[in-house]
Amino acid sequence: MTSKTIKVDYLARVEGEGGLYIKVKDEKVTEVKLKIFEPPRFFEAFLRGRNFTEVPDITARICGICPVAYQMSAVHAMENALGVRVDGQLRELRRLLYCGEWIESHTLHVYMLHAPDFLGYQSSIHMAKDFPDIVKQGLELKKAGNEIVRVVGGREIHPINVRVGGFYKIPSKKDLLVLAEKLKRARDLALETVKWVAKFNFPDFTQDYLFVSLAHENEYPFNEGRIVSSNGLNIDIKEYEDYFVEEHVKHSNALHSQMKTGENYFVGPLARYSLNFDKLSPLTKETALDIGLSKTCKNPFQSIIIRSLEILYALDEALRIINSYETPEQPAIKLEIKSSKGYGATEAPRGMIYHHYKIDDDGLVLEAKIVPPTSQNQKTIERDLWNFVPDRLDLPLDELTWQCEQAIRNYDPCISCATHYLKLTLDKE
Amino acid sequence: MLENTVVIGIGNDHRGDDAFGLLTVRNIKKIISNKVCCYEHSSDATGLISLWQKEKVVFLIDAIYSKDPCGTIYCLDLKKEILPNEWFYSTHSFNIAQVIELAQILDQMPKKILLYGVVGKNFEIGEKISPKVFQAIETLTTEIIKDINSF
Repeated sequence: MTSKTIKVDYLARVEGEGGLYIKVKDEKVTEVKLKIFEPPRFFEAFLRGRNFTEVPDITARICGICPVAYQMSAVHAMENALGVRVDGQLRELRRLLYCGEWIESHTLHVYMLHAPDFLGYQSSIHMAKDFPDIVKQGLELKKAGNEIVRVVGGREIHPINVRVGGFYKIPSKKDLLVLAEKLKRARDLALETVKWVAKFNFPDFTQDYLFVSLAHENEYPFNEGRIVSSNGLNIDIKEYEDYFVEEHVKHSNALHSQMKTGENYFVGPLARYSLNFDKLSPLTKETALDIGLSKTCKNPFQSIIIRSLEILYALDEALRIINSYETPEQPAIKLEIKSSKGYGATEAPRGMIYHHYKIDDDGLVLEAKIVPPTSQNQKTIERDLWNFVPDRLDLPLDELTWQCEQAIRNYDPCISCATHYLKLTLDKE
Repeated sequence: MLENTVVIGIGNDHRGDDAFGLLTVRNIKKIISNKVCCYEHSSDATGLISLWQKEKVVFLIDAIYSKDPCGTIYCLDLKKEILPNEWFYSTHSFNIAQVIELAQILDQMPKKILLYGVVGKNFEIGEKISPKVFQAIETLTTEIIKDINSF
């Protein structure tokens, strides 16, 4: 009898703190645990009793990487509760803000966290010694996202300009035209990024995933849409809890999400791309096809290409919004407070994020539920490892461990959001 | 206006002593916002490089982890001294020590960069700032303004 343990006590280049344990016995994987040991953060409890107007800014503090996703999901849920809809140029500005967050977050992952895996470097700091110009390019591209968030959100990190009903202050056309000049240069860099990552070597690891994302009639999804899946699900956001469920598992401080039918599912760039390819901009579609990608992608290692394409899309979309922008007359619409429930879901860079709130007549929060993308992907990450390891058991342990970590980083897991984290153990008997 | 002088407070308002950098930079801004650029930073530290790369003098303010007593103040000249990696906890992939290393490799360090750190003890979500860390806000505000004026 032979056994092997793959153990990573502390996973590098992921956001938050977690580990991985894999046990192999008689050449078969017998145990896979994505361990998230960052303490639970009890944000939902923290929100109870707070005024509904405070929720977007408080939830934005859950994550320094994707604060816009939290803000947007919260404002949509609150507006749903109050029976109002933000439309026109205010809606476009929200979409522009989301473009900024996708550019920031995806660029951080592509250049600083994921590319070192493909180029054989321990970290981007090591990579920077050999490829300083590449890393500088990544920082310049990320800065373009920061600029959008600064102009629309009021500052680069944790934007303060978003409120239920709209914004506190709206940018002028002139502000946005200055921004557009920087974004044009960034779009060229994004195109170069796609071509660069497309040349990486990708393990042959195509999986049969159940993809879930938002889908909108006319646009690639950021702020709204229906929840759809690759097996035909098509539901309103308020029906989310009728179809999806969270459960506690012993080895993780983050709840695991699954379909009520028991299936694990996949949210994030691969799901969005595969379910919404036709809604990408012409340049993004053309670029994807030019590099040989098909309209669906089921190899998670190629997620770095999809993220790069989504950066390109976000820049294209940002420029489209700016070109047609007309300054709205009011920064926000009027609200009437009432006791009610509201539901919101948007597409964070890592995947769909769901919020649900119940407020009372004074607008105070009675109930809050937040389901971030990493919680939803945990089961699928474990499933990937169950399938990934058996064909690679002949690899030296350090090489196998490295590849397992890379398989986790495919998901750009945000453990702080999921608890919200990750460390790896491979146990081979 | 002291052109090319920037003060950056780092942290998270909702994580107890981690709010120190933000509270201190707000305090400084109230007193001398007409003289320097003040920023609050709460995300992955790579974003810091874009805030300072063209600046000549940078003041970073953050709460740090150390075995030293809570409230202990450190000031390091990062062009001359090595920043201990273990001082920083970041949930966001890169901490300040790593970003300083990256900036050095990329030749994107400012002309002068000082880190003012205060030892915290409580970084849990939803907690209040420790009294000794709170006291250090005023002390460091005075100290940093004095240093800014000396340049």
